[in-house]
Amino acid sequence: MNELLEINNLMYDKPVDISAVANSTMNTYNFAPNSYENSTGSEIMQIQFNEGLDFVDGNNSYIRLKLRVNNVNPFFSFSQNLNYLNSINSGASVLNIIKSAELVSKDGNTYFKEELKNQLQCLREYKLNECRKNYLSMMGGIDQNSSYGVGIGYPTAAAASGAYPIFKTNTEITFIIPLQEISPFFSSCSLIHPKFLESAVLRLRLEQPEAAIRLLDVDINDTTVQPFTITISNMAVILSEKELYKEVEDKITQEIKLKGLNYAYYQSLNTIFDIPQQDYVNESFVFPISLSAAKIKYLAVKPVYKESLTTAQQPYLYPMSSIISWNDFSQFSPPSTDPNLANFSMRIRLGNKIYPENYQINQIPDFYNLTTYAMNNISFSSCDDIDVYKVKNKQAPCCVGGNLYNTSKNTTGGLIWAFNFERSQAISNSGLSTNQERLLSLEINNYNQVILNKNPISLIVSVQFMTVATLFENGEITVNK
Amino acid sequence: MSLEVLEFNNLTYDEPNSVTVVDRTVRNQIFANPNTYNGLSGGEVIPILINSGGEYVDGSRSTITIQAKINVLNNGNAAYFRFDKRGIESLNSGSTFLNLISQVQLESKDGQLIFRENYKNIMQTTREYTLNQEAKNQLAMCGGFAATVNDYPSYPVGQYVTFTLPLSLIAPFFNTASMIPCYLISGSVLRLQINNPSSSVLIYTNDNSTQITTGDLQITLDIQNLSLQLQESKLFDGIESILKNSAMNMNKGLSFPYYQNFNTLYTPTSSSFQFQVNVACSKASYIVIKFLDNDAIYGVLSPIGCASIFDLNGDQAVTDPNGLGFSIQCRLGQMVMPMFPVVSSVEAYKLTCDALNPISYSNTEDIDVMKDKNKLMSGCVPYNYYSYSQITPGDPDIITGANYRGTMFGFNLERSGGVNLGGLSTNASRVLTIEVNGLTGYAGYKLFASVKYLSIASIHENNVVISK
Repeated sequence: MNELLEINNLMYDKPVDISAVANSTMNTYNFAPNSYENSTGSEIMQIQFNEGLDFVDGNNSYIRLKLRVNNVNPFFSFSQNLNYLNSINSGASVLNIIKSAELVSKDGNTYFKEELKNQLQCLREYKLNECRKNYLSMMGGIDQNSSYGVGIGYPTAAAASGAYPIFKTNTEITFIIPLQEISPFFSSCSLIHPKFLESAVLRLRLEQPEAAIRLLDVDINDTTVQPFTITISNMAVILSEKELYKEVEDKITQEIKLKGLNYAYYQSLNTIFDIPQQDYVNESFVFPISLSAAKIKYLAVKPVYKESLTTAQQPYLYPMSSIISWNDFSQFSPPSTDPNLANFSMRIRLGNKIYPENYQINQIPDFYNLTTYAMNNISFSSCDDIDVYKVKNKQAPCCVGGNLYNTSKNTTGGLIWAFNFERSQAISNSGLSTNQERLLSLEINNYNQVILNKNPISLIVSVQFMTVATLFENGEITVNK
Repeated sequence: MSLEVLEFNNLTYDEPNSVTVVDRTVRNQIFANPNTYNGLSGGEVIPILINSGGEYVDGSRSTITIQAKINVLNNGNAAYFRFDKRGIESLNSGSTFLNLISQVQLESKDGQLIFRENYKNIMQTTREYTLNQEAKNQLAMCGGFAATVNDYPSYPVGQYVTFTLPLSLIAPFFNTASMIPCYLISGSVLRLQINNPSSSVLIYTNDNSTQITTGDLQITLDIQNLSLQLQESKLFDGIESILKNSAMNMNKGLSFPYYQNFNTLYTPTSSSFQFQVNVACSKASYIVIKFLDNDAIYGVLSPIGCASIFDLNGDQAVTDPNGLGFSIQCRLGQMVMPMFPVVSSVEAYKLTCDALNPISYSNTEDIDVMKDKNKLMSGCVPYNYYSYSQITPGDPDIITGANYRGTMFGFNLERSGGVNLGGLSTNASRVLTIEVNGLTGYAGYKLFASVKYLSIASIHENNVVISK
């Protein structure tokens, strides 16, 4: 009977404090050094976490820094400056300046190492909801209302309404980056045991400034620039630390003695393939992805202009944006009249298995559906289940609307093609394994491109997979994937 | 193969059982007595006796319906009113019909104060950080910002307009998953204190776009057909009997836990000050503050919109566009939160969102085997509306720290990020203090603070005891 009352929220008991946290603090730890002057890219910023940490709440921790863009042009933004839709789903933010992130334990085990961190920000656009996208505008990104051009104009000029926020050059500007955005390692419900972080080193490699930041002249128009520098100062990590009750901590220590302590998290293998510059008629490619992992979750592919990896100052090159037109990737001659036809087909191979099994994807709505399905981390989004306990029907994430994924063959800067490897739709951790004998590869067929040497394309590929870090009694840490 | 595994995978294929304990649900209308008021100018208290009988009340689905008429006595050009500025400049203020209610109070039938919240109108902004965009859009039904037209709805002056207010807007007491036991709600009195209409609405001429800002407008409010619509449920006799026995049990009773807000006001008299919030409670969840322009009370500016960072730092376009130009920190007894003064708007924004977000694990990327941890986030105040720079093409100078009237400063007092009710206690020897330094523009603003804390109504056979 008590169960029935509980289900119906009719218990009427005094709520019990079940918190295991005795004390909560937010502490500042500086990068060493905490200033990087006149960076032209590739510098590695690092911090070694101290001994004596408490349990770390990665979700509420963040990096704080001051960014100064050194240039005679007066303004800059992290992506488009006009009320166009070319880049609104690129996910561009202050994270543009960070090309790769790596966390290494005190004994040299790599917890995660993710290249092209900035370029893959658009994956976030498929995982979050509108409120979260708006929240992350604190990183210098765009918010949902502005993206549609009907919301707020930050500057007073009508021409610039609906654009990314604009900042002044030659000025120190404070930004924060939630640690969640650095890696899923910090984006877990579980608190991170201090032994995992003590003496661990977080390394962030800087991107070339001209590829990460778009400079604007005094009239807020694009401007052609030579390479420039940025200065980063006052860089620190603010950790939300939780001191657990002694009994709870003792219990955890006991677990470590018995069987070790496992901390499970996702990480991504990010890599890049160039498409050779030549004319193609119904060509096929296979891109093998060398990864050995027991549980892969998804594979995502982002097509970008190769040139945008080194500069973002051309009219069609927005920082961290994907290609702006499907036709720039592949186009029939004469062009197809079907606005939902992709002009190429794609599928994935994993060993002897093929996804999808008996057809190739060449319809844009099909690409969109599979992509949103693969990136969605909420089960049963918008389903109409009988749902007796009202716990199944949930809301769907994703800020890239179907019309923004394909607007008459144009994109909004966040074009990706993604494939799901979870076997179950209901529960996670059912992903497939890949290794050298069971190779994961991306297959592109019926590829057509007749415009030689114009806007060469690169494919950035990201595979997310599960990793488990294990802490043993003697302090040794192993990382398995 | 255990049945549990099948259940986790939704492969049980059984006919779903009904687990409801509700025999029938009705929607009752209870009229206020009196239910008509004319010429209200602020300060009047409207009592509503809640005669709900022996049913349990679902507060989150109950509403107040009210027909309101705004009269402008001394300006013939007044044709329309809004609850906030026309257009988008106040879109995060949280203004609704509740602008007209300055205090809410619920008293049990035996005289216990279940909740009382001052400055209810002013602290509506807090809601902007706790709901999602869809819920915000719903509140256009009670005069809130309408995203579809990017404007606050306008209503005619001198005509009765019907509004529906969800009771959940009145207080968190009415916004719980648990139905409110009849022993607690029946016979209680809800009191609504009317705010001065002149500082609650903005008046527009008959072109519906030109605001009347000159002269002291004499505005009054008429109300008629004020009633409560209670969603009431009768439980099955067996269930009702169990709950009644618990209430009769002197040692146990029924406990109804809920949050309430302690809202207070402070007028800064210098640029650096410490403001002590005198509330005694055992589980405080968060403290949030906002600054309101003194001129707002004259019905010219947004009635409840927050001052911008640009305003607060004395109209200095601070060098760092994400800088505050002042510092703010929270103290609780000997503790200080965070361990460093907050000097940037990005940090202030993050701390505020984290403090007010009622959803745990928003947008985490946990392994989440059962897919029940990763959730979506709430909040309708993008950072770009919290603090942004105004840039004029051709002019290298910028104004920093402009806002859309939703800039608040919040600090989380919960110890744990994962579970609630880990909030800290505050009392006379462990005072909750807000410390502000270098607030150059202090003279033109008032500070409103709100502390959210746990309360428990213990229901026994003959009485109700409220503890906090």
